[in-house]
Amino acid sequence: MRLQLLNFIFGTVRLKAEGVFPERIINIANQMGIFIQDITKTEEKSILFSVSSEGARRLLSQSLPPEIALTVIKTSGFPWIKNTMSHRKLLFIGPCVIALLLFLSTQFIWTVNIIDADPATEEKLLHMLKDLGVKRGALKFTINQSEVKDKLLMKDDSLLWIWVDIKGSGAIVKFANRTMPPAVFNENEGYNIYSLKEGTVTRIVPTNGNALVRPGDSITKGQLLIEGIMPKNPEETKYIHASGEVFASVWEEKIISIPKKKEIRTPTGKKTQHLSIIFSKFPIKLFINSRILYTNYDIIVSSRTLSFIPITFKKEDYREVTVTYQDNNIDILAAEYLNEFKNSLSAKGYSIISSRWYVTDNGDSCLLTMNVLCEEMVATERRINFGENNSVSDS
Amino acid sequence: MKNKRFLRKTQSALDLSEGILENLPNIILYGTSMVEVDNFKGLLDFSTSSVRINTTDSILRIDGSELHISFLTDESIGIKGKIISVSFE
Repeated sequence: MRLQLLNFIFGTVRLKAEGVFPERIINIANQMGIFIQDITKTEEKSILFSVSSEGARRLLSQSLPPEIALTVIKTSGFPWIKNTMSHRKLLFIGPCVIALLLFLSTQFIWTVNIIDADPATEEKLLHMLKDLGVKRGALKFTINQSEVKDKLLMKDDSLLWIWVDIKGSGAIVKFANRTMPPAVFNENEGYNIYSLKEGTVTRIVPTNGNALVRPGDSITKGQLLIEGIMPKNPEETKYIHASGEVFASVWEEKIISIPKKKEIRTPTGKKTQHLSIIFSKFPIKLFINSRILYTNYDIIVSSRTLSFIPITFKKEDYREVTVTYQDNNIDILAAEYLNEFKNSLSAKGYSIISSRWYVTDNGDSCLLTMNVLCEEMVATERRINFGENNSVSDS
Repeated sequence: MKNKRFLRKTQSALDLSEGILENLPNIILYGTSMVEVDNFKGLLDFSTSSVRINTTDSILRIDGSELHISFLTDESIGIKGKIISVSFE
């Protein structure tokens, strides 16, 4: 391996010595101190052997016995490739330009990813980052991460900490929101407690204010439950910040459509693959015919993005399927959906009391109506605005 | 001759390996696939079935099949192929 590498670096020449007693050439080369490799005798009066480029030059310039002819059979190695390629300048320039372009492309920010952010926060942070120069197309070395962090923290009070990590051609933003302290009550302002939903009061725990309902009372949405007005004397009224918890049994309803027949997709085994390279946002298709010949098919898309250059490899697998239909068992499905609905309500902190469901026909599908009776907190506070309707119009 | 005797005595006195001062051919056989000869003086005859080489001491003959010389420097030679025998003439 080492010898092969040296042969490639310094170049080798395969020579053919033909004539009477060609071994003499080997001895002459040996006396000249030329390293000879791979000597084979092809015919009675001819020998093939390899020497270095320099050795071949020295040997060919030497006056050799006239009855022996020495010819070059093959040249190999870097010096010879270099010699051949020296006329093909574009062959060198092309890869060099591509390498340079790739290197330059890695010096820019191509993606800004904000980790664990809801759409609104993401948009807000992206906008702020853009103002500070952290955006698509920005040069990486112009971004001072500490400076960006400090400016963001100064701009947005809701941020506890933030860090912009530059990895490859992407900026990864990690942050944590500050837990804001509870609002300070103004003792002089009056607040009432209203109902958010329609139901029947099950429990009421007024901690401040005048309770207007009792357990067992039916309430409507927006009804005043705890009043923040305390009569001081017949002429004067004192306004206080009403507080407390009001629980009511409320019917929660959800209607979903269930198809009468369900689709069963069975793979046939036939598949077509489409590969494409996405450079930044520009896709380069690596396939000619984009038409899919299958009537029914599933698409499985997978992609891999390189971190150091803005290139994504995208693979689309089109798998042919046969589609058959089978009757849905509505009862089983209804029980599953009801269970799912109950779980979602429990996750909100509601206590489930009872439930019911019924199905109505709706052409190709059925409408499943689910009603769950829950005990939940229905109280919400609102400042007393004089001269206005203080009822809660919408939750 | 006197020189040779002196060298042998020196070699024996110094407890050196046999022939190290006399430049005797040093033959290393790697199984039946390769033979390496140090202190060789020249290639006399070469074919795919036999190689005759001149050494400081005598002529060495290597018989075999599919023989070829893998390398050759001013002091050593490496012969590859299926080696059947190595003999002195």
